[in-house]
Amino acid sequence: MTSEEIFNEVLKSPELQEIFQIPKEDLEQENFFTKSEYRIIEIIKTIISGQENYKSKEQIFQNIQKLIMQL
Amino acid sequence: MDSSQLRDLIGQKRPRYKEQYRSLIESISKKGDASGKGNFSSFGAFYQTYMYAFIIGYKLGEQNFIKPNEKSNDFFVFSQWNPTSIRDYIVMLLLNKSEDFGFKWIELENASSEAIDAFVAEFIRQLEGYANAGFEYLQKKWYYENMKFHNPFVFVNILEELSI
Amino acid sequence: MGTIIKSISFQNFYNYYGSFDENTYYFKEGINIINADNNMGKSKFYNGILWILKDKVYDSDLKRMVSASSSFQKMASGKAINEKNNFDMGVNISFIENDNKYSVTKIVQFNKEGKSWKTNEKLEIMQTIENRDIPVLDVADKEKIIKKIISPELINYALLQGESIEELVDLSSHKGLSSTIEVLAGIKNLIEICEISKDLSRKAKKLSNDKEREFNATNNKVNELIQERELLEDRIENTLAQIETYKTELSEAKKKKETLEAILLNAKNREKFREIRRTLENEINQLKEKKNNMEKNITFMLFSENCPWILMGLEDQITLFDKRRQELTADIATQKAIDNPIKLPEGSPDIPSLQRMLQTEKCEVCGRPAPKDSEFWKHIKMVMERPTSEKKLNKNDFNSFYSSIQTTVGAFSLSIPKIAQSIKEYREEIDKLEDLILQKEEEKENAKLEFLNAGGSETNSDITDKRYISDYTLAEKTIEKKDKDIRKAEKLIKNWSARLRQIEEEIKNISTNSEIERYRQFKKTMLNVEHIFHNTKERIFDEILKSLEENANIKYAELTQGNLSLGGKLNFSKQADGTVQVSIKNVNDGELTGLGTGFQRMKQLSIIMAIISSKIGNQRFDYPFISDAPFSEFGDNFINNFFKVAPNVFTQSIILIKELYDSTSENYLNDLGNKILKRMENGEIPGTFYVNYIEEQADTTNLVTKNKCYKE
Repeated sequence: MTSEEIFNEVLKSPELQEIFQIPKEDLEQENFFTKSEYRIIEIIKTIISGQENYKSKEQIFQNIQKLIMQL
Repeated sequence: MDSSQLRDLIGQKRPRYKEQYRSLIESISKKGDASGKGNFSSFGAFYQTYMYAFIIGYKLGEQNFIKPNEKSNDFFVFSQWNPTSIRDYIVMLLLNKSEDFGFKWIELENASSEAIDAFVAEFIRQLEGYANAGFEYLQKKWYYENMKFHNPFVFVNILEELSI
Repeated sequence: MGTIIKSISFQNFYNYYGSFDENTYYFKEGINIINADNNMGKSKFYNGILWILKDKVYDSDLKRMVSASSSFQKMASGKAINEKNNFDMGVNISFIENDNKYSVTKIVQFNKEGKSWKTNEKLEIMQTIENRDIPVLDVADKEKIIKKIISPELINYALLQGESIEELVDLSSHKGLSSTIEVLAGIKNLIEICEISKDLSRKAKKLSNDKEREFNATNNKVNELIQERELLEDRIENTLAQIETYKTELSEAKKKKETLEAILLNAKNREKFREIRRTLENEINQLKEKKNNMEKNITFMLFSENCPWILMGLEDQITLFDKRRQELTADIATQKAIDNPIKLPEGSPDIPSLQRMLQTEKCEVCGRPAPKDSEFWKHIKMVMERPTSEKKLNKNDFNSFYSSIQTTVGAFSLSIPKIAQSIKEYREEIDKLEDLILQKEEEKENAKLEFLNAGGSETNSDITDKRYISDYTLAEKTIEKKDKDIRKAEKLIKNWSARLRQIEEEIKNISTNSEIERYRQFKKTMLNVEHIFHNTKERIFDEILKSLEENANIKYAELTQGNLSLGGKLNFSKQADGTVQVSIKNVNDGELTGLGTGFQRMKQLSIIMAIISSKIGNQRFDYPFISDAPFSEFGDNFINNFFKVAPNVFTQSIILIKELYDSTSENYLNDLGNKILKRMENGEIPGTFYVNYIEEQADTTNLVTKNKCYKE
């Protein structure tokens, strides 16, 4: 599966609506290549593209921390 | 002379077979009982072989007498041949033909004891004639058609061929 | 584009004596059939492929896979070994993959040294580039090229072994169907993401916990709670690892059980056919003895007292004898009359009358006087005094001799006409026995084949089978125990997790600030991300599983169509231990048990076909499907179905089959074989058709297989 395909599959997770309260319509608008309003979506993208680009776990972790700290 | 004397006279005789058939006879007979089967079917006892050969010769209508200079061997004494009913049947067959070999029954009734002796001798000679003709026939088959003897029905088949 | 095998060749390999050129099979897309009877190189052909792909061969004596290098001498052609002092043995596969042409050859050089052989193995690979063959020298590159023939992840589904292997290809172990699905779905990277996410979650937790500890360094109560939390978290982690171990052990026990089930089924079958053979053997021996006795009895029948066959055709002799006797009686009477000259005129007087005549001296018959002592008077006296019994004129009396003979042979007059019938009936009875013996011999031969099909050999014994049964029981017990252990561990984790949640609450209540809270939130978020990825993976997996189940059932229905017994439906279910179990259910969703190995193999084949024909992501199974004799348990029906279904599933299949063989037919094909050949010739089935045969030779130790190509 490509990263985009994985991302689109993840968007189907019920947790995003139930736990993170993201409305369904917004989820339908999400795109792997354009930045999302939602932090959780960005975290997910970071991990997916981190894996694709052979980034180390530490690096990915740091990127995510940066994300969190920014917001 | 009475019946039992005549019977004894015949019974004492030992019909003969030609020496040249000895190995054939041994091959197709098994002394003692009709057990023990080798590669070939076999007769139980030698006198069965002799009786069988006689019937063959009789059916063929051929006789093969033992000439004076020919080597021959005695067989078992006639009175001991078994089964007695078959043996007596053979006697009957020869008696039926007695005129052909020179003896009318009515003449026998009046015959002297020397004449009766002659009759018995000729009777046995006739018996031998048919039997050795039968052996000759079997001998040829044994040489030229030996495979037939591997068939358990060989002796029945030979009879059937001659009974048509 | 995928891989298509263009040709397979052998050189002095088992039965395939001679050079590569003499033993080449050219293949195309479609179904490539090699029809060969047992011992005609069928399994050896398959071994050639195994050698190239896996460096292994199946040893039919040991009944298992062995490394090729340990088996070189067995693999070499017997004829070559007997006739030469040095020769090469080898197998070549030439194929095209994604428009690239390759030739892979494994060769073993044999050199005789004294009484033993020295061997040297070589691997030669060529790639054809712009019509030139370039040798490939780098070892890693060589490995890669071999894997292009069939991808190692899918090799279990591309190679289907013959009938005498008891272990069905395992599809339910950890390494089985689940990993295959993962490969086919291409979710390898998703799986990696799950791993990364798990790790990140752990990192976030550690970070959060460290911050908390830092913050509460002086708070004893919180420190205690933190310590307890750490302890519990450690325990949970260890127990989770423990559960993984249990799951592996559980899965192995299940695999063992399924393997043994097949073996046991076969063991029962073996025992059944062993028994049948024994019984038939006894029956045959009894019949043979009976026939033997009847044959020995023929001479007895010739001389039997009831109906002696020796007297056939001689019944009229008894009548003749009787006639002779009557003639004799008449002759005797006539003779007596002649010999007795004293003739009295008709109406001769009786004795009292004669006495009177003497006294009266007068003949009362003619009226003449008869004076006493005259001639006439003396004559009358003599007549009166003649003896009462007739004078015995015969010298001999053989009547009772003839009579006794007649008595003895009399019964034969009735029995001789029955001789022909008696002989006929006797012959018929022996013929019947012969027919019965032949029939039973055939049955015995069939039982032997069934016995061999069930993995039977002279070395299979009751003891081996008993051992299987105890191993089976052990596997069942292990499954039970591991299930319990897993549940117990999960319960513990549940309790600890509950306590953990309590601890979290307590810590939160006692001490919190916005920074700590942020870290806690971070921890929670990363945990959720971990779950999201994990659940996504599971969801994809389940979807594929469902589609696979649907596909497999379509194939299963197509393959089993027309069979008399219903084969049920395939059911794919994910087990708690993460493995996938494929069972066959009946119409009411109950487990269908007792299906023969035939249906088990069809289940296998359906799964394989479903996997291969599923379009999951961008993957398509584009490798050759190679099968050695999968058809032994099925009838013509299945074979026909297979040839209908297979071309749509496999781009190329190579099928080694014996069920189309008939050694007595001119072209070595039976009816079904000829039908299939016809369908190939008129284009219905694409592919090639070869038949292996062995030239008649007096010496059967150096059998050499040759092939005939019926369709190129």
